[in-house]
Amino acid sequence: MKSSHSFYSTLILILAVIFSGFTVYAQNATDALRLGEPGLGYDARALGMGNSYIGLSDGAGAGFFNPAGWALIKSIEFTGGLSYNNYNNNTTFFGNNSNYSSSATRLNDLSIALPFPTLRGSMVFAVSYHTNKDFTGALKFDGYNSGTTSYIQDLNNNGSYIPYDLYLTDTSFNTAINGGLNQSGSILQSGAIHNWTFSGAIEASKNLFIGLNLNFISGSYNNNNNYYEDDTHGIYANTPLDPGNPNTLGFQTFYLNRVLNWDLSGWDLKFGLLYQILNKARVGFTVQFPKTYTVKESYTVNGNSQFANGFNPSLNSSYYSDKVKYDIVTPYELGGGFSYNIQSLILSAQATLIDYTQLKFDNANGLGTDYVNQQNQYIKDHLSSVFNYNIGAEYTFPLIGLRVRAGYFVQPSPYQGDPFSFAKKYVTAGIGYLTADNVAFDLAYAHGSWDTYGDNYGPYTVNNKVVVVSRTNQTIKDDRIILSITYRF
Amino acid sequence: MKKYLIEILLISLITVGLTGCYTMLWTPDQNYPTENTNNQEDTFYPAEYYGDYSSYYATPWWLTIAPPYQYNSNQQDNKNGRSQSTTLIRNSNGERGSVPRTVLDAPPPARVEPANTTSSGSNNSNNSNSSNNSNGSRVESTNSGNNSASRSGNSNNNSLRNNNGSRNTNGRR
Repeated sequence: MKSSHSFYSTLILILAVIFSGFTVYAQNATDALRLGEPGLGYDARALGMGNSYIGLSDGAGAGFFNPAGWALIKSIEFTGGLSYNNYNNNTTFFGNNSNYSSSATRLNDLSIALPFPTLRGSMVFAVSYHTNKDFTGALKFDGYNSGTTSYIQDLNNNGSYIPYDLYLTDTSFNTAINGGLNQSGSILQSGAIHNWTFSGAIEASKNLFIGLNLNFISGSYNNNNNYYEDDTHGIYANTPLDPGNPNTLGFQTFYLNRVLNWDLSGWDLKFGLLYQILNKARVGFTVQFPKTYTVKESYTVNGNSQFANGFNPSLNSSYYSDKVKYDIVTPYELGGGFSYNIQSLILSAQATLIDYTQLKFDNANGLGTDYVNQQNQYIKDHLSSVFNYNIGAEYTFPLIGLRVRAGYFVQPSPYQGDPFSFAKKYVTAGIGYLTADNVAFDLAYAHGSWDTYGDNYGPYTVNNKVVVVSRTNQTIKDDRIILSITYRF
Repeated sequence: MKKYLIEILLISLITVGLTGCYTMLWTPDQNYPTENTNNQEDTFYPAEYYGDYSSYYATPWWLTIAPPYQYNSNQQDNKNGRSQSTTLIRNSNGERGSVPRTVLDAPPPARVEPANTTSSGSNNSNNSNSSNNSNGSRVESTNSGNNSASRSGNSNNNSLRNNNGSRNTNGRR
């Protein structure tokens, strides 16, 4: 019987390859948003002020916030920085709480700015290598789904041959599984976006500065997803999943491992303008042109099932693994901000408009055109434009060269209709200390929190009503520390 | 990429075109920028409120280093005698002294003291017409004499100036 099963499996797989019907696609709006949402940058002073820096930007942070700010630098400047972040995910899944965290430490900034001697005005060129986005993430869930759904059924109903290959169906692709399984799993994410940024800025008119960042992107992203469905209640202990095969009696576990690897490259441009008013205030505007990321994706699927008698079939990974290449193009980002100087106190605020409906997949090589169009349509139908806003303050104690900072910023959810609790909200603080007149130390801490959710499969639409079937409700806590040292001479 | 570059170019041209180019880069054939050319008062971080951060942000690095050697065309002409004016003097008619001596605008020499020092003579003393000044008084002028005087002018006994801090003794070592 097993040979018959293998024969059908092979035959069906060949047909599937021909008609491209079995591929487990990994690309969706979440993937596009992973690259489309702005990162937190790399500048300790900026982060301490809530990343409200478009209207200030007189340091290495200009490479991320406002390139016009480079023109405010009058000394040759070297900057280096380290970052640490800890991502904590508290998940509720069918009434059970799980907590999982992941952390990363990395060199996040090396930059040099070179102002040219001028008789009037300012001209500065700069080069920086920085990490402006960290993909570190984690998720763990474990709960009993008493409903009549399961991922096994979902895959089977959607034409995947994974349940068939794991002897979870009969030879006619019918499965006896009908929910009532314990579902658990974990996701670990890692990676970052690195940038080589080449910048130039000039004082175009008195107190009016313009600048440009030309950015070359490299990076990686890894997502390791482990998913289990277990018959903890013994519902299928006496039910053969393939009646013609006695080995399929006593189903115990279905396990699926999906590993997504991205090798990222790309480029982008950012234009900035900054105007200083009477040495008291600064107003800045930025245009972040769409970033074009080229994604070389490797998607690997492994899995097995386990039965009471020791029968333990596993997937042939090569049938379900895939390598594709495509572009993700991010939307324009229009930013505006100001800073106001009241003696030793600087107040700053900024807002950034991002129209996430302009996110799109492009130049797909290995993906079906229909699938790409479908995903782009989903993005247009379900995402929206958002205003990110930031506020910050910095107070200088002039006699001891100490600065203290505080800030707050919000990045609303790009999904239409999400409540405010789904917005990423960060509270930040920082200190700075100047020693020897030209060496500055800056330390920033940011604590972010927001809610989100993920569906292991589904949701389904029944009678025009969306029915959630396997959802992890997540509360995220994101803690970041950035330490930077700046030397000017 | 071409599309974005065009947009960037347009924005930059509009921005700079409307305002003109304000920034003037220093080049080696110009006077080295000084604090006067860089307005130190024009700062977002006044020292009164920001202490050392003021100079951290406001002081250009090129003011903190020694200015590089600069080529000065006027000095060069006087040293090597190849300027046009020098050529005219030397070659006016082939004879030295035939052209009226140009008026030198030089500071007066230092006070002469003591009075009774003597000199072994100098081949530069021909521009003095003062009397035998032995009382330490100031030498009033180096230009009032008859510039057409011949070499014999060097034979006067006014040697004080050459020994006591005059331009000739200090300036040509």
